[in-house]
Amino acid sequence: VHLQLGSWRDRHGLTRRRAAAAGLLLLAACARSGEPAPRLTIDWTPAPAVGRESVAEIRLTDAVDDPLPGARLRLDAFMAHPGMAPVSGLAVEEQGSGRYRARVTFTMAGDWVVRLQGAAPDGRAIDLQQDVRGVRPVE
Amino acid sequence: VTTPAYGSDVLTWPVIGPVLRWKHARTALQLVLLGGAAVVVVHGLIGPQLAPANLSTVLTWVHYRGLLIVALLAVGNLFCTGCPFILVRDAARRLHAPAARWPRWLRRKWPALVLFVAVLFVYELFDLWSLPRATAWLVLGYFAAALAIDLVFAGGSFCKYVCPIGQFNFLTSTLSPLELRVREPATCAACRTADCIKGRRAPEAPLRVVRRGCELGLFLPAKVGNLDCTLCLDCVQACPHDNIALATRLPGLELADPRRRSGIGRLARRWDLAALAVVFVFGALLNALGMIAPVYVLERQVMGLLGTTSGTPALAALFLLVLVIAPAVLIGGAAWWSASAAGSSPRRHLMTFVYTLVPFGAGVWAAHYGFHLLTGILTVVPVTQSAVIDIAGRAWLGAPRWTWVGMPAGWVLPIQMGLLALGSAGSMAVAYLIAERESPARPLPAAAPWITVTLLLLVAAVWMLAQPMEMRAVGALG
Repeated sequence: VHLQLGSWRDRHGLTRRRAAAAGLLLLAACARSGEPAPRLTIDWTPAPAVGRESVAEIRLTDAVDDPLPGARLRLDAFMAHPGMAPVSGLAVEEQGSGRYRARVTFTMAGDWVVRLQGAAPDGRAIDLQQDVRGVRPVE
Repeated sequence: VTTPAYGSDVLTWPVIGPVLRWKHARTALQLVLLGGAAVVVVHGLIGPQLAPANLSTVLTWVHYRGLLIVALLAVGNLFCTGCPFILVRDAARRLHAPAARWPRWLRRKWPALVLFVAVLFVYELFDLWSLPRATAWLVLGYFAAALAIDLVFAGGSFCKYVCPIGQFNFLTSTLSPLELRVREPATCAACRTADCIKGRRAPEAPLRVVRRGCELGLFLPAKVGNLDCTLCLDCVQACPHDNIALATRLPGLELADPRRRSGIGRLARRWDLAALAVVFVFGALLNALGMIAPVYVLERQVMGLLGTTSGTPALAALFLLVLVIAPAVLIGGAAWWSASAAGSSPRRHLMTFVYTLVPFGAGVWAAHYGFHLLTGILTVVPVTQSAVIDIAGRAWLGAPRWTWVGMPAGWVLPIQMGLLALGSAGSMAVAYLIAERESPARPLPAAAPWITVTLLLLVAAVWMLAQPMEMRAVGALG
């Protein structure tokens, strides 16, 4: 093992310590930011139903529950089961004070997941999701 | 049942024949599937935990399952041929050769049957299709189980006695249009080495096997049908007389074949195989039931009756109803009825006729998994694009095209109905073939109960498919 490692080190000009440091850097790069993620709350009006437009009143806050205004966002709605048609690329309009609004028409009965993606004003990526359970046909 | 002489031999076809005969053909296919498994595991563990946007759940529950059944019904057991678990196991066996033999008392399908039911139950309980990380762990679990078992026990113990996917494939492959079989029985009769099962040995070192024989104990001259055949083509590579064909045949005919099968025995004497067939057929209905609204209502009612807020007992009750009580009533009743008509024993009729339902079961599996495959076949494109963004941080493959999905569900419904009709017709044909043998004087009365059961199950399956599908992801655990 020692000989093999030595040979590998000679070819690449790296010491074990450097390799370990490179590994740690890689891990650090892969790891998520230490800052807590924003929080997402969505109120639906009217309640989600198949084929009916519902307005998603979105509230975005930071870790201490302060509003997070100025984010650039888009919203996708996916069926919980993979392989089904999503409702994708929905525009999200800012309403001020960390409030946003999107209009969603769910296309199938069942459980959905909405995914909110974008960037905060400071450039931090936003990728949040929330379940929308039991979407049923309009009665 | 008269076994026809083999049809066309695919191994002699241009292009395909040489490719299949290439000694690294299996490894090449295994490497492709190993790559797929690696993607499933890596993205499942580190990707977004959103099933429709994760390659783990999309590749496993949409593409793998669908392509598996398509390959089985259109060609043969290709996914056992390309099994990546066995590739890893073979590599590990170079470091540690197993010495033990699989225990004699376990040489039945019972362990695999228990695991098959367990996988179905866990799938419904936790809604595995909605859990990328759990899906990745499930795949890793398969690798670990194959390694753990086959590094201790010699041969294909994992494939033959443990792997639930393998048992599913074996039963479905009875309906495949291709089968490995002997070309000239006389050549085998004159053969003194039996390399097809013992393996071909190096002339200079007779203890060293250079091409292994059938790991699942199928001796080609006595092999009947595809049960327990992983289509690994080891026998083709090992046979020194080039006497093995990958022959075309009439799918499903082997289900009516009463002969003793190498490595299996007679179907009519195998309670474990009969139970596996029952779980295969009724499990197909159960798995599809899990996607429709009336079952959720039923589950809630059962929870109310049991006075519990946990869905586990309700799911257990549903499994008991569909996998035990319904088969006991339907199959037991049909066996009693057909035996009465033929003046024979119900037990004999049960053990002989139960396999008639396998084509119907395969039709239900194909209709269900085919639906997900056809309606979601293109989702792999945007999910791959999204995965590249997840991993590289850049849209090297472009922005995800989420509008790429697949066929509209309405277009798939006629295909599903066609698959159900085909499966049911196959079941009824097999029932009549068996009845002709068991009750030559009055075949129709002997077949009628099994045809009736098939029609009842068909009505249930059509009713299920006619329900609006609800893609639930809240498992029985809530």
